[in-house]
Amino acid sequence: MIGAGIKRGTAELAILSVLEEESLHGYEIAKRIERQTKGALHFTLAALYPMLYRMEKNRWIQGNWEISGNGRRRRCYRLTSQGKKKLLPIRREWAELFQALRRLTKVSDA
Amino acid sequence: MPSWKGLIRERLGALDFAAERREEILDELADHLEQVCEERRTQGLSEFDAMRSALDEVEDWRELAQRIRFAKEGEGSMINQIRRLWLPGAASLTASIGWLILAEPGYWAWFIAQPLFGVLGAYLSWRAGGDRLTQLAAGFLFPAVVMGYPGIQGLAMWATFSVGEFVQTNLLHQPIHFSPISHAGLLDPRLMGFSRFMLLLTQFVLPSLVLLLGAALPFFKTQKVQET
Repeated sequence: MIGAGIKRGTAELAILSVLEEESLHGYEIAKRIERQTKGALHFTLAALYPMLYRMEKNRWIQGNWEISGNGRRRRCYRLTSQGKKKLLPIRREWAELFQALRRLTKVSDA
Repeated sequence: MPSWKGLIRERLGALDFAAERREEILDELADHLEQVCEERRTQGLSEFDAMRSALDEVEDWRELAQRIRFAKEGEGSMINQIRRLWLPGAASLTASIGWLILAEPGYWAWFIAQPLFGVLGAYLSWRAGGDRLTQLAAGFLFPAVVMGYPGIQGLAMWATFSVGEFVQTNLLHQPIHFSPISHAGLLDPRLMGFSRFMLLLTQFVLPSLVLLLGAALPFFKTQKVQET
C-alpha cells in the first residue's frame, strides 16, 4: 500500500515535470502523464484537480483561461518560476529514493 | 450530449466560493469530463456507457468538493474551523437547549427531538464544507458534552473518592470516611453509584446516541444517492 505522502509526492513530480515541457490544460496533463508513464500513473478528475488547485495556491503553477484551436475556452496551466525552483529538489529527492531502493533490492537479491 | 456542468453542479453540491470562481471550477471540470466521455466514445462505448465511465472518474463527489475547498482555501484556517465546526456545533447545542427551556417539552419529547438537532449541526457543517468527521462532531459532540458534563464530572469525582478510599484503607491502613459528603448526601459513592449510572444513561448516553444518529443521517442519504 502506497502511503498518501508518497502518492502526493509522485503526483507533484509528475505534474510539474509535464508542465515543464509546455502549458497544458487539465485533461491534457492527465493524458500526457498516462502516456509518458505507459499507463503506470493514471490521474482521474478527482485526483487531478484538487492537486492542481493546491499547487496553484502554492504558486508553483498558474492557470489561465485560453481559447483552444477548436474554439473551446480552457484553463491552461503553466509552470511558474517558483514551480521550477520546487521541481529541482523534488527530482533530486526522488532520484535519491529510487537509488536507495535499488541498492536495497540488490542487497536483498544477492 | 448531457449538460456536464449541470451534472457536476448537482453532484458537487454547495461549493462555497464566490459565484464567478464557482462557475470557473464547474466549467473546468465539465470540460474535463466531456473530453473523457468523447475519448470513451472513440473507444467504441455507447453514449450512455461513455457517460457513466466519465462520471466514474469521481468516486465520492462530496469528498471531491471538500478537497477542492481545502486546496483553494487551505485546510487549517481558523475561519474555516469556526464555520465548519464551532458555529454549527453551537447552533446544534443552542437548538437543543432552547427546545428544552422554551418549549418545556418533557423528557421524552426532548429526547425524541435530539436527532433533529444532530442533523442541524451536521447539515450546517456540510454547508460550510466540513468533512464527515467535522459534520459528526458539529452535530453530536457539542450537545453531548454539555449534557454529559454533570454526569462525567460526578463519575470522575466518584472514581477519585473510591480510589482514595481504597488506597487509604488497604494500602495506608488509615481508613477514611466521607462523613461531610455523606451528610451532605451528594457524592457518597455507596449511595450514588446507581443514580449516577441512571443519570449518565438518561441524560448523556441515550440522548448522545440519538444525536449521533441524527448527525449520521446525511451520510446514509449520500450513500443512497451514490448507489443510484
